[in-house]
Amino acid sequence: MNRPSEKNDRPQPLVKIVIVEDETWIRENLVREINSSPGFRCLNHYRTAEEALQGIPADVPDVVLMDINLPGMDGVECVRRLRANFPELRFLMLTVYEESEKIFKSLLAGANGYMLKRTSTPNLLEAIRQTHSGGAPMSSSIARKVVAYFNEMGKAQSSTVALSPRELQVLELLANGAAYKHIADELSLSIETIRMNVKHIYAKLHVHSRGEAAAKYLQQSQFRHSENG
Amino acid sequence: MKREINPFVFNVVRMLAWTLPALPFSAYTSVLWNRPDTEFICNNGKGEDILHGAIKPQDSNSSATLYFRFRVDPIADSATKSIGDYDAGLVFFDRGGQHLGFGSSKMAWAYCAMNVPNSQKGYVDLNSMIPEPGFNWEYIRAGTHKYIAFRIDYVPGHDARVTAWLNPDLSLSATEIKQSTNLVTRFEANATFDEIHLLHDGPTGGWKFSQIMAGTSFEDLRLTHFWQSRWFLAATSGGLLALVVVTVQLVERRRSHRNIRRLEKETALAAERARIARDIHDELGASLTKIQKLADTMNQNHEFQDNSSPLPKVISDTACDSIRAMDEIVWAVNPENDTLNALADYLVYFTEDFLRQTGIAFTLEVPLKLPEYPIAAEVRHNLYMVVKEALNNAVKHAGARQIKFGLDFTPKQLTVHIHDNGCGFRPDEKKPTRNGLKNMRNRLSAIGGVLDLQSEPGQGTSITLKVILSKNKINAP
Repeated sequence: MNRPSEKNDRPQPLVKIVIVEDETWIRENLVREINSSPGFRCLNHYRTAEEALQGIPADVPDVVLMDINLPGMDGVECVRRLRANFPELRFLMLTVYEESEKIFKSLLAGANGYMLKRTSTPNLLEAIRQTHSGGAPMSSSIARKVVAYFNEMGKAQSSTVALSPRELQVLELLANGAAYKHIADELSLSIETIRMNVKHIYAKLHVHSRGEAAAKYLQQSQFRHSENG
Repeated sequence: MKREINPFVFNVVRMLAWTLPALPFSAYTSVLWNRPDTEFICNNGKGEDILHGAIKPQDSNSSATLYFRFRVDPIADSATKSIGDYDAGLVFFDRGGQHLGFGSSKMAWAYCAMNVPNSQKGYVDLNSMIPEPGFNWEYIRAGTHKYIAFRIDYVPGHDARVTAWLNPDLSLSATEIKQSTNLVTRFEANATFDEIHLLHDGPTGGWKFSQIMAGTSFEDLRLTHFWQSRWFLAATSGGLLALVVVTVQLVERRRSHRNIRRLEKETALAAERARIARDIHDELGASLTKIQKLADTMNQNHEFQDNSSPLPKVISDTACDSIRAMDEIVWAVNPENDTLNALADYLVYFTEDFLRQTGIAFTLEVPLKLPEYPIAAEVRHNLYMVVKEALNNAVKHAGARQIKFGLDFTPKQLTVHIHDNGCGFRPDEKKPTRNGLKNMRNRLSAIGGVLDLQSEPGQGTSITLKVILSKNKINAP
């Protein structure tokens, strides 16, 4: 699942994309923008999670752009199911608003990053590129949830999925609002190394998410959710 | 919904239910014979037995103490008549012969021993405490009723002993020791009795006897008023019990109805808020995103670039701002966010989103895990608006290069710190930010919070917001 990381001056490989988005215009606009950008190709697009589950196995994309809020099955569940059968797939969640709880659940279900729909096209393409190479940037609000999650899992986690001290350091700095550049300065590392660390954090979160602990956590937070609703 | 009765009230009611009916029975267990509600008027010389064999004759070896009580209402003054030594009263008979009586002589309230060989014959004054002026005794007058109580001790091999009280204290707290004894005398050892006759001998129209009773202790003689009678106590305690039960039920029902109505209202309100949030999110959010994307496309389009018109860019930015504004509204309206955790999440998200765009470095000092403590929508929205204003001031007016955002929570208080290293100002100085500051204070005081501002020119600005949480309930009206 961890591909060898590309060098910075690499020739950009073609990123094959599938879009799952119920809003027709936004979906078609995304297709148009992606296909008009060199290095990106949209293979297919779906209106619902159910259709995506049927079609994506045949499409064999690198990255799936997944709307979180879909009619019927939502994007989180769709990611969870696809991730179980296609561990190589990368998912970038799309959302109108910053809904940190839903975004975090997507990450647990196997997503590699998220983007607000209002993000400009160049930034979106950059996010797709980063997702393809392991993981999109992690915001402070999400980093906070990830730290809290790993803390809660505590000693129950095996050493293979536990965060390394360096990763934990990076994650905590992220949670405290530090930008990648500041983290790199603080730890005397390159920004690229910080990105690698974040990528590994995503990966470990996914390994986690297949365990029972994550299922329990998801259920618990759902329960808390409905209690407050 | 299940209606629940307060367990304390329930136990009190249960206790009453057990004790109240038992009260009237416990104190009267030694009463031998009682006719409290019967009135007799006797006007013949021989009298009538009122016991009808209820008490067996005592033999000479009997050892017992018996108490008697009766009430006399003379129908006419007996003092005006010239009558014999003993006129009327309650008379004890032994196998057909008169033995002793309590009633009146021609002058006074009296005790009289009859056909008792060794005893003092004739009347003995019962020594009324209120003799008529000029006399040593109290005359018997119509309309002045008397209670007479007496005790007979049967001592085997000795004379029986009689103690009599005229008008004793027969209240519920009365005891024998407290009475002043009017007469103590003896009668023949072998005398017993098996009949009680009510007797009146003379022309004055008779006496009215009532409240006649016999018992084994002085306490038995106490007068029970109608409201102290068993049936009355049983009925009233039953009624009281029913009243308590009904009242408790009514109060509980009303309270639970009120609770149900309040919960229904809150649930309906929450559902409505959730619906509004969803609608704004689904309908407006998608449309605005579409507008923004369209404007972006126009901006990239060569036709517009040739004109170098900024219009599509303005449309895109405006749409972007609208989405952000709506983001706020959806967050503020959605009841799912009525918790401390959701508030902290959003404040962190906003701070990050807002400051990343400006390129200003920031530090977050927010606990990673916060409790699901309920925060009213009004409270969190006002707090958010104040934080937004403070960050805006730090970026726009103070020209800060570094901002620290902190959040602290104790179960009673929520504290937010915002510190910038900008130019600072003298708090008393007139500045364009003054109005904003006043606005921030107003928003905080509306939710029971306070704002503390520390600033010096060149020293940056520190703002501390404090909100007492215990007063703020979720969905507070």
